[in-house]
Amino acid sequence: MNENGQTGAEYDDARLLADLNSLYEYDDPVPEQVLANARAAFAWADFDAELAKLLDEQSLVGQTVRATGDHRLLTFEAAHLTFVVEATELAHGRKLVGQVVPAGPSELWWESAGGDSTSAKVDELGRFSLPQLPAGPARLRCELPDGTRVVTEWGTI
Amino acid sequence: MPSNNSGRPTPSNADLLAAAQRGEQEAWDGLVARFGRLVWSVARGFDLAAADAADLSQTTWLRLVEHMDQIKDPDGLGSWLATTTRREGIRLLRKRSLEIPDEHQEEQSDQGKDGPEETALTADEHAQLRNALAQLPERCRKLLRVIAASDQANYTEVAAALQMPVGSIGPTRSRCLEHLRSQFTKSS
Repeated sequence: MNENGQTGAEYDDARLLADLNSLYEYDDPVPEQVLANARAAFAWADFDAELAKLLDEQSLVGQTVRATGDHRLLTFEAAHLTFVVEATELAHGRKLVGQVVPAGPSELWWESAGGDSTSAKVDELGRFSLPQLPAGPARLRCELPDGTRVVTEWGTI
Repeated sequence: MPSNNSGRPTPSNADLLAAAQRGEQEAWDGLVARFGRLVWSVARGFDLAAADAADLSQTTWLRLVEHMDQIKDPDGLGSWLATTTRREGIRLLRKRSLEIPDEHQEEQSDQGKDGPEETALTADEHAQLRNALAQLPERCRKLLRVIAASDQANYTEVAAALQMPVGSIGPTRSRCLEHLRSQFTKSS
């Protein structure tokens, strides 16, 4: 036990940690693309949009759908709009069916962190459907009739 | 990091966050340079494929973009990022375990990928250290990895990353390093 403030031991620990760091840098460096994406994430800054936070996430997986993959119900809530989304994992991507409450917006956008975007019509009851979306971090965006933008938190929806 | 202004060599997290909120990409890049490795090390602590770890890291940075104006303790930004990564990682694992029933993957080794040309250790020393590391309990490996990635060995950050009490980090770190050292000398 060399914990009692012995500088020699502390020095050894620091050196061993530096060696470890060097090993990780070598074996599993942060991929340059990961850092580039992190820098690019800044382009998504939108301080005027209202943020709808993930309130609740329930798995709806039952025996019958288990084979086809994950099936979840997500609720995102902001002051002026709530998104209720049923997400189904597909072989290559996912499907979203949902509803915005209160109804009113006529269109909704799905946006991926990679820059892809798809829009969907929202019907008079607030319902929408996005049948085939790629995997990865994404969010939903909606504009209220008064011009307020509401976005869901980023995540693997 | 690109030199900012001569008076302040290293801007604080608070400075960078404030500048980023004014729309300065350079300040944001500074945050990524400071914490990118920490976020990655936490993401890699989950048994996820490299692509999932990349998504996890990206989700954390996107979360910071949308919460930039709500960080109450800028000095604790590393802990905030580590916690966010851990939470989202647990979510992802839960989701995965529904798809792939309990398929326990061995830790992925991506060795042999071209790393930086210049490293402080020789390939041989790397191999010895890697072997010694492999003898450690997983808990130790995870802890040491996050500590190594955390620049000023910020225990609050590490505690947030691994959900351990802050007070236990120091002693556990010593034990794990001791263990590593004994494995290391045994093999060399």
